[in-house]
Amino acid sequence: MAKIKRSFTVEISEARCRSCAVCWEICEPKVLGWKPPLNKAIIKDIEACTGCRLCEWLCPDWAIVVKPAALEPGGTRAEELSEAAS
Amino acid sequence: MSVQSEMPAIKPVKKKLDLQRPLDELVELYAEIPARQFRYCPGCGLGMAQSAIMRAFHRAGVDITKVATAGGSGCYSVMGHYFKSNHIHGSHGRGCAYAMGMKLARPELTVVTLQGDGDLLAIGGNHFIHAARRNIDITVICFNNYNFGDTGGQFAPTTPLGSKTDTSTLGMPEPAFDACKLAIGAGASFVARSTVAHPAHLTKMIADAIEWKGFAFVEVMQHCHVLWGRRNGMPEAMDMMRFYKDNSVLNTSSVPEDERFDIPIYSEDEKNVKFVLGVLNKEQKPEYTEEYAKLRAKAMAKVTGKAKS
Ligand SMILES: Cc1ncc(C[n+]2csc(CCOP(=O)(O)OP(=O)(O)O)c2C)c(N)n1
Ligand code: SF4
Ligand code: SF4
Ligand code: SF4
Repeated sequence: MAKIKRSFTVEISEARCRSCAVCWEICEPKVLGWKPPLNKAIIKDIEACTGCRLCEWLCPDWAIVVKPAALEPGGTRAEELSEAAS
Repeated sequence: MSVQSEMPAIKPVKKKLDLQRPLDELVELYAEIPARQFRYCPGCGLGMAQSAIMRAFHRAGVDITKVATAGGSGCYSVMGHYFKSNHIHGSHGRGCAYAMGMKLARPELTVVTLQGDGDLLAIGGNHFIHAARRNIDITVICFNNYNFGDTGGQFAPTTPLGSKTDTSTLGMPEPAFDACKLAIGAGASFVARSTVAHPAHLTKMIADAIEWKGFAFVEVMQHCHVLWGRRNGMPEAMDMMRFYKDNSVLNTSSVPEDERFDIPIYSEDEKNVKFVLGVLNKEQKPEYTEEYAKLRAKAMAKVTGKAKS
């Protein structure tokens, strides 16, 4: 069976982010980065995201939300979530 | 107040560790957060601990409207206001006293205290040890950041020997408390430790503590890079996260594989062990509100018996 690559969406709230650098340093695949001059977190390479959720769990200002991207059109959120959890 | 003849409500059924619920959905269920940032410093471990506590509420399956939280003063004291629970933001160090009062009056509530290390172990030390001794069914969460954050970084009873703070600029001359050993000595029936750098483990420890029937204590190693870290060569949040990651081990190898979260197991020849994580004590003991209900029933029987004769 072909391996299906899971994809994820990462949303960062610019209003909440306080440039603490935790998320982009903790993210191993280097999905996240920062943008001068305020050095707020940005997404650099969403394709590399493994959905590990470390950035979401550790952002001290709760600025990041990670969600599984829809598997195919019409797939429900509940299905996605149970798949991601398994 | 009516006499509590019934036993306290049974705690909710245990669920699978639901770590996959996105943050925004959890916030809707459990938290009431400001549209902009929190009141902690940027990068502070308190925001991370708060996130783990919210996930622990979810995992323990609590009804947030049946949760009462208590805390005193310190950087952490705003945390209670960020949850949908009923919160008492009381005077410094009295979290355990408020919690005991609430639990005795309403045993069906889930009562959690959110307290700093200075708050719980210095000014609130007596309330803490006596709540632990009574084994009352509350959960005490202590945020150990090694100093008094809110007042500018003075040393606390947890400040490590030799480390620098605002009031120990040449190095702390006093040895520190081990909060978990103190809790065990005082009679706490559930004692655990974790750090903010191990979010999944921390969530598990807090959820287990909330589910525990009896006095549960969780020491959360939470960095204060702005005050303690800056004075001790770790000025960034990530410096302290790495410090926790590199110096933590699990207390025993009896932890199942899926609950280890990649934390190494303690071994004798481990040199740089500073933080022993995991459940450090777990023993079944009579719970105080239940014992008190029995006593009350006995007293009532005596009174009504006398009235008849
Ligand atoms: C009765 C009383 N004494 C002293 C204070 C001053 N005070 C406010 S916060 C604080 C220290 C809090 O330290 P800690 O509990 O470690 O929490 P942190 O700020 O580090 O999170 C002190 C001494 C107070 N508010 N009330
Ligand atoms: S962890 Fe959060 S606050 Fe810190 S830089 Fe990343 S998004 Fe911003
Ligand atoms: S979920 Fe994991 S891989 Fe994806 S951005 Fe966050 S930390 Fe990086
Ligand atoms: S002073 Fe320290 S503990 Fe307090 S909010 Fe700032 S970083 Fe956090």
